[in-house]
Amino acid sequence: MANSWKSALQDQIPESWAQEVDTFEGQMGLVFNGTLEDKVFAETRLRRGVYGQRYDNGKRHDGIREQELNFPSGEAVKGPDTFWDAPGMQRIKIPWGGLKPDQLEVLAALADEYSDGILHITTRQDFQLHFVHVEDTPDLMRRLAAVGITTREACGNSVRNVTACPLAGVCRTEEFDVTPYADALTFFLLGHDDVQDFGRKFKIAFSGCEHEACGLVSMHDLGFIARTEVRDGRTVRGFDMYVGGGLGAVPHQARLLQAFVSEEEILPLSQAVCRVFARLGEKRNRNRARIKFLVAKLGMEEFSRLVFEEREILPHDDRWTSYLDGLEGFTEQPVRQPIAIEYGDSDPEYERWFATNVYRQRQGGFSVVHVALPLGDLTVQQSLDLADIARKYVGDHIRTTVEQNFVLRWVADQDLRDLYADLKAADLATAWAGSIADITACPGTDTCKLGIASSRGLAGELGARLAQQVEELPPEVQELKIKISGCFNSCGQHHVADIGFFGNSRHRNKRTVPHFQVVLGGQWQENAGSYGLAVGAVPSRSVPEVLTELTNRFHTDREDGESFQSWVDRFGKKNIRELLKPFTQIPLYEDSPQFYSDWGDPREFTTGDIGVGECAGEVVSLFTLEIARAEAEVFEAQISMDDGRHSEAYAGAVQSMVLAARALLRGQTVDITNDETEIVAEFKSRFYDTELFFDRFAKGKFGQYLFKHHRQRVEDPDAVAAHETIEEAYLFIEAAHACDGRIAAAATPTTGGIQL
Amino acid sequence: MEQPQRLILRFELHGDAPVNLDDVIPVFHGWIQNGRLSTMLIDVADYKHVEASPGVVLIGHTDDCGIDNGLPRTESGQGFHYTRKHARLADEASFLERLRQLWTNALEAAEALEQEAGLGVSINPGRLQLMVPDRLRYAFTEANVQAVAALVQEWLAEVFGSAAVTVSHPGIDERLPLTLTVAVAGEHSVASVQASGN
Ligand code: HEM
Ligand code: SF4
Repeated sequence: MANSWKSALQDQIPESWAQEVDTFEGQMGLVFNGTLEDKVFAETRLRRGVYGQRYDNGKRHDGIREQELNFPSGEAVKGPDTFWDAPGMQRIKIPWGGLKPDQLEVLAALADEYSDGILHITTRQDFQLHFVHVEDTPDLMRRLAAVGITTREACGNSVRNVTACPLAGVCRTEEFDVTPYADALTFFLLGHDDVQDFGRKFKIAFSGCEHEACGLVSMHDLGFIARTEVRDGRTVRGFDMYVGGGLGAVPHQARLLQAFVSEEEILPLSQAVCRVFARLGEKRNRNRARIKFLVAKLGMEEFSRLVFEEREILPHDDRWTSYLDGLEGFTEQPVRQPIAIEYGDSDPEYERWFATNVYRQRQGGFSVVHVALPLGDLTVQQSLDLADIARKYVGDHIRTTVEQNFVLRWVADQDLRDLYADLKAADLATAWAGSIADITACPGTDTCKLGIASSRGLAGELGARLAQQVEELPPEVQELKIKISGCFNSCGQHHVADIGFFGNSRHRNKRTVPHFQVVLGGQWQENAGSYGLAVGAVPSRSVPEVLTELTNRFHTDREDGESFQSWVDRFGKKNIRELLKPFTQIPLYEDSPQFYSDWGDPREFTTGDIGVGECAGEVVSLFTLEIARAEAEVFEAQISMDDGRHSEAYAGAVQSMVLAARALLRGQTVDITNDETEIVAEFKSRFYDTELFFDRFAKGKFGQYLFKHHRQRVEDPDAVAAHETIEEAYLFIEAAHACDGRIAAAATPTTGGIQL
Repeated sequence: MEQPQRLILRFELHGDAPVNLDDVIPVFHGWIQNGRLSTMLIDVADYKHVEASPGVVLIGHTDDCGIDNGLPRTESGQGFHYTRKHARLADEASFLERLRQLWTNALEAAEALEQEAGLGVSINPGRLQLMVPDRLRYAFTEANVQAVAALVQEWLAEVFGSAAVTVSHPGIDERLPLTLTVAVAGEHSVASVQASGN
């Protein structure tokens, strides 16, 4: 029996992925023993999806007083002010939401072995596990890697999950299936050198058409809308490329960068966008570091000029177009063929579910089934049941949605009733998917360090009430969307809901009262075509009444066929404020103490628990990030040495020197591959021959260590050779640090403004 | 036998009246406020909106506990569950010792919960499930079931003396954590088990 997941899965994990996880594990060792700076480790772990969670600074207000959480690991930290032992969150990237049954089974296993038995779907088609210990994350990553999932760049200042419309390929209004394109861009940019030096996160989405909600392109840093054109009698595919959108405290709509970019050009043009962003994007002030601020600052014309200029000088990469050969591979095959059968009467519950959760595919005889999850949560058993159901009816064709649900695609229509019965047995047949009762919410104060008010508490409360009433509501109210964020950062996408809420607070008589700002009239259709309007804050406890008032007024006041957006426009902000006014009152504590606590949380409300959020880590220089990999490598080599594995120790030590040389090159934004020969040659010409790497006393001696082992590896190294090389590697890495320090000092003007 | 990385005990509740999970939330927050248990407590997680889920969970550093809302795909009522995350302890305790620790801690919490008069919870320590969420060392296979069941017999003999202990499993599914269902002959309560000194 294998005694570790590392050995149990060694044949199932792609080598480069295995290496990445080993390196990460090595870095954990370094940070724990104090060798690796906490802020560097924080960004490193974020780039592997390992997030902090509320109270990880060791403080928690228990409702009466602030308590210290005395974690047993004492002062050890995994980031600035983030205790090592504190439970954290693991985000798991699911490109374009595509999920297979075996992957779902592994996710379920991780939920009960490392988390609290619940899997959570996010607003960007990802999964999250909460209350995970950092030391469990390497094994967790290995188990995911063995089924083709990486958590790389799930957080941090990096390219986040590439999302796409969950109906891609089966939708009735799409131009063509965007899945293979989303997939190609995902893996092209994953770990790409040109996306490692961003000042902020970068989100990408694909849509199959312009007018539906689909990929919500307008709210993304980079977005693609499918287009076809007829050229020389042939239909060719391309995309309108949009740039500079984003939610957050200052939401921006993306703007057209270029209409109809051909399928051959989307990868290189995206790469050029990334390069311009990495080079010119803001790095110090993270509040202005998203690409939307760069586009706004430069103006679209200048920004696009720079992008196309960059495109011209990009070194050619075969991958730009090689993915096109694999497009066919994405064509989905149903596991069951449709047959026509006559049905007798069915029960009204099924009919209800059919009406709200089933979408007729473009392909006749097939349907997409929406599996609505409360707050995006499901249990281990439900995950396994869903995997079984998928295998039985649809094979691999599961996707997650940004509304925190699943869809099952390619259900043969005659199977719908059986499928419904199976879903029902698994408590997964909730009707009203996508309706007013199917509320989206970010993690909020449950787990997020930045949360102000309880978005999940509110969503749970509204969801439970609406589930009782939805049937009786008028149709125009049934189809409204509610989205809730715990603060202005808008992870719950409240800007694009008909009725959005984000958490804030108000003071009254020396107490703090949880509130939600009401945001009305955001547009979900047209790829998140416009954002809602903030109309005023109401106490958290009054939100249900506010919702009733708003929807009633909309119903009675609405003109024929009028949408909620148009009604909000027509009714006017002033009138809406008047409407809300009675609900803004805060009763005295003595009369209604519940106003002073949040939904689902009986503690007296406080904003004292808000921490420094790990929206992404601090901006850490490329050199710092890369040299950390070299340090992890030599640390691993030392462990191999101690275990008597001399060959591995030797190889690791040499590799760490190569990585350190690469770190210096990357720090100077030199384009460099992972090829050792190329790295050594570049290092030699840029750092050795120029004597930049030279030590005052040892001169070029440390550089020679790398050259020596590169020229000729020691054959069958014994303990002495391995040990010596590890020593050399440490000296080489130290010299790299010193060299980087000298370069940085030379680039910093003194106070007198004189360049050194 | 190798040490499992975590263990979960789940006790059935006496009686039919469901426990209102909304009421459990303030109880757990109260426990955090006054350090009610001897292990380190952190926060409360609320999953009552999910059917057959862990319900409301008190999250700790080494131990979690909670009242669920029934087991999936059964008519079973609610249960009290207790998780011990041994990986966090990094001690050398054997499997059997880990079972003993789990029992002691779970009963401490069970007793505390029964003392919360407003909840009306009564826990049946004679009807339980043991789960071993450790698929690396204890995959849910017939062989592992046998091995762990033998250990469980040894352990529960210490607790219940000569009362007959029946150990079965709810059906092998290797995707699930190894799960054993245990029934102890006779009537048992938290108080009676505590009083018997085990
Ligand atoms: C200043 C810090 C943050 C900002 C500005 C921010 C902003 C956003 C925005 C705008 C979205 C979603 C909409 C989209 O672009 O598709 C998002 C996604 C999300 N955020 Fe945040 N966020 C921040 C920090 C956090 C923190 C600390 C948490 C809690 C752990 C969190 C949890 C989430 C989740 C769960 C999602 C969906 C995730 C995904 O799968 O990518 N965010 N964030
Ligand atoms: S919106 Fe605010 S509370 Fe919600 S997850 Fe984002 S940062 Fe946290």
